[in-house]
Amino acid sequence: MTSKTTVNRRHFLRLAAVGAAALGLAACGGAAPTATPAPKAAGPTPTTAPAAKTPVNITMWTMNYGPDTAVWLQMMQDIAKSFKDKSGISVDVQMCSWDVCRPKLLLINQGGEHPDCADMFWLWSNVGLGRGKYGPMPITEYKAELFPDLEQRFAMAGMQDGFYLNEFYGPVYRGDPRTLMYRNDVLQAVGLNKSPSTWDELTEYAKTAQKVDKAGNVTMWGFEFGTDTTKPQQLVTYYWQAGGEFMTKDGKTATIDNDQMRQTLKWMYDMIWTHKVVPPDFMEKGHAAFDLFTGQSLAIAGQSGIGDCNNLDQKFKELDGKWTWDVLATGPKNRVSYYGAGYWGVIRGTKYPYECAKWIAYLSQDENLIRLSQYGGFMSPNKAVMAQPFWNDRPWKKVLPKVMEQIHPSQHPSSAWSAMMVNEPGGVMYDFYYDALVKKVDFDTVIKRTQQRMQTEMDKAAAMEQHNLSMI
Amino acid sequence: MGRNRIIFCYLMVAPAVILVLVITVYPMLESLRMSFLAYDLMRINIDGTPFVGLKNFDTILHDQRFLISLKNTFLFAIIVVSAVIFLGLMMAQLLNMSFRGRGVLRSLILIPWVTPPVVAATIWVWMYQPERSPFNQVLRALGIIQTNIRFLADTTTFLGGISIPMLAVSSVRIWNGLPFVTLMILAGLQSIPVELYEAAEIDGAGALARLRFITLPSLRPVLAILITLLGLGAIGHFEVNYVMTGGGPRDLTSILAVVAYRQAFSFYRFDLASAISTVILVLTSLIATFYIRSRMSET
Repeated sequence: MTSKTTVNRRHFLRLAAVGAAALGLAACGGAAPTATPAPKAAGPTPTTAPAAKTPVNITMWTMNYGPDTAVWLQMMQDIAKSFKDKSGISVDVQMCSWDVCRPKLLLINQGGEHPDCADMFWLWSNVGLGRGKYGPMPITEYKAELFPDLEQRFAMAGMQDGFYLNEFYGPVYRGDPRTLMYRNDVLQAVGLNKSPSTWDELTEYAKTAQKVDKAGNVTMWGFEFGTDTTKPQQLVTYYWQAGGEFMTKDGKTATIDNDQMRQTLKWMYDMIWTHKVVPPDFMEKGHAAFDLFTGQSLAIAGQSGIGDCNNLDQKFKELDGKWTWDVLATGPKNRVSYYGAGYWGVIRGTKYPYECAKWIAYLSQDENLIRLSQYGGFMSPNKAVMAQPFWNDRPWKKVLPKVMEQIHPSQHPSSAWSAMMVNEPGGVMYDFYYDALVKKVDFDTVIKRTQQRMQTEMDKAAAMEQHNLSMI
Repeated sequence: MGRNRIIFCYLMVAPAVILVLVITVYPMLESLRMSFLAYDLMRINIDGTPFVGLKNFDTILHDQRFLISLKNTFLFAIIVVSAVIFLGLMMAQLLNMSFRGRGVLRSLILIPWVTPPVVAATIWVWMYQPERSPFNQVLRALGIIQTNIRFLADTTTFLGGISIPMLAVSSVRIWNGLPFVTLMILAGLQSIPVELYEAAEIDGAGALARLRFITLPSLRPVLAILITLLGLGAIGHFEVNYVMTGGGPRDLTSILAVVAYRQAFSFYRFDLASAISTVILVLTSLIATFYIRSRMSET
């Protein structure tokens, strides 16, 4: 039986074609970028401000800080609103969580989707990766106008992450030093009443504090190299403390094949396998030193960050008074602390570099930084922030000025560094430490192999930078 | 079937077919295409994406980590498939019996199935943490072990050639997949005529004989599809291994999908990741082809 309206093959094909076209249009229409589109060739010199007649809308990505992401975002948006009231420039602040910010930043450096400005880090590497075409944009030409008192308001020792090759990219608004953390109740119970101040003391303290039951199970580990789940980050510091550097100042030559590296590896190896005070699983995924610390199974963490202290204050009140944050133990040459930092910067490809720089300058005003820092729980090189009672109301916060006296920036001058620090098997630094300290590969072999790998990566990065700089 | 009716049928399946083409077939073909190109995201602006033929496959076949992960993938598949089928059969037999509370038990066994694999893996990481593992506490209390088992980190103990970490992550996969298999086998068991068992009993067949000559042959179609699905799932599996161990320790739990993921999203080598994904595609295609051909030869 046929219906009144018949559907023949021609009708069907027409319908299918219309449907496919509709799908295609929907797909194209739905893929609108959230940021201003990148121009074909991003010039190195930003344009000056246009006349403020047409409304300006800029986008900014921020990572999440503080206990509640929504609250953080709202704070940023409130500051953006007050900025708009004063300047007429609209800022759409969007969240880019920590889980995805690193790959997003790397994609920005390859010309991927980007906002006008953003909360960023690893400036040196990203400038190299962006090769003058993408990624971070210097705003040196606006510094005098928009940041006239930068040197007075900020401790410049902590501002290295905002400068590169004599260019200013943006103010460092947060710092993240890593320093010693230990259970003072555990140490006091075994007669240790002051912080360990040298590597030798770390070893002795760890051995004394370690507890093992009758069956040989460790119930209290003496030491962990750090609480950072990004393993290479927690391990590189010890080489710096032995007086070593991973590469030359020009970022062109790897420099790990030396006595300092051997000395460092020997000390670390002995902590794990000779003195047996470090869990041998310390580099495995899922091994969380901070959980051991809060679970009363770890006496000393060689390095920990402000985030851990905030966590202990907020979520582990039962440990109040039982833990101490102090300056790092001194290595053979110094006691530098790993120092990560974040800055607010402008991204190449934006149509509004001046407006972005103006927004960033507003954001980094003392009153805004104070508010953000207290909610986010991060320290800042801004002097007004650190003078606040908030940053002196806990014993661990009072240690910060001393820690900041000796910091080592996490950045390195080769754009290959961030790739080499990948926290996965196969990453150069990960494999280096894993082979030397877990697989117990002969030090000479692993050092030479890693030096070669590093050099290969750095040569590729240097060639890449050279090639693309010549294209501009 | 009338012509209009056929057209109507095509119209009705068209949206689903389009969806499958767009979200499954197209990405698969695109990945296949990328496996023959150089596609290093960190160098794409210099090198572009030139055609390199089989170079990516040559690279991965000479990569020790890939070869280890290939071996581990087969090992993981064999462990998971055999354990799930065996345990599923036992559970289904139990749930097929009449006893009080059977309905409640049938509901409870679904819990692992409704737990997302990532959540399950995260929970089990905690359960396997040596110092706080309830398993270690029980085993030590019973005097079976003296020192804590390092479930996810022991690189020196092997049971039948299988490492403890591999057994640990496999157990989570088995735990997560067991309910589905149990239910499928249970459904199959309930379709077997009771008279067959009665007749066998009369003839003096014991439990094992009834299992061997009645249950297993009757369940053959169900078991075949289950083994195929489990095999496909195990070859392409990712989340449990990645979340629990990241493929460690010492690559003992590294499987193909984890290596592919790492190449793509940690090292930005989409060419190598695509090549590994193609290997996964080939392996799963072989399993599926084998199953389809065996079904066709039976019919």
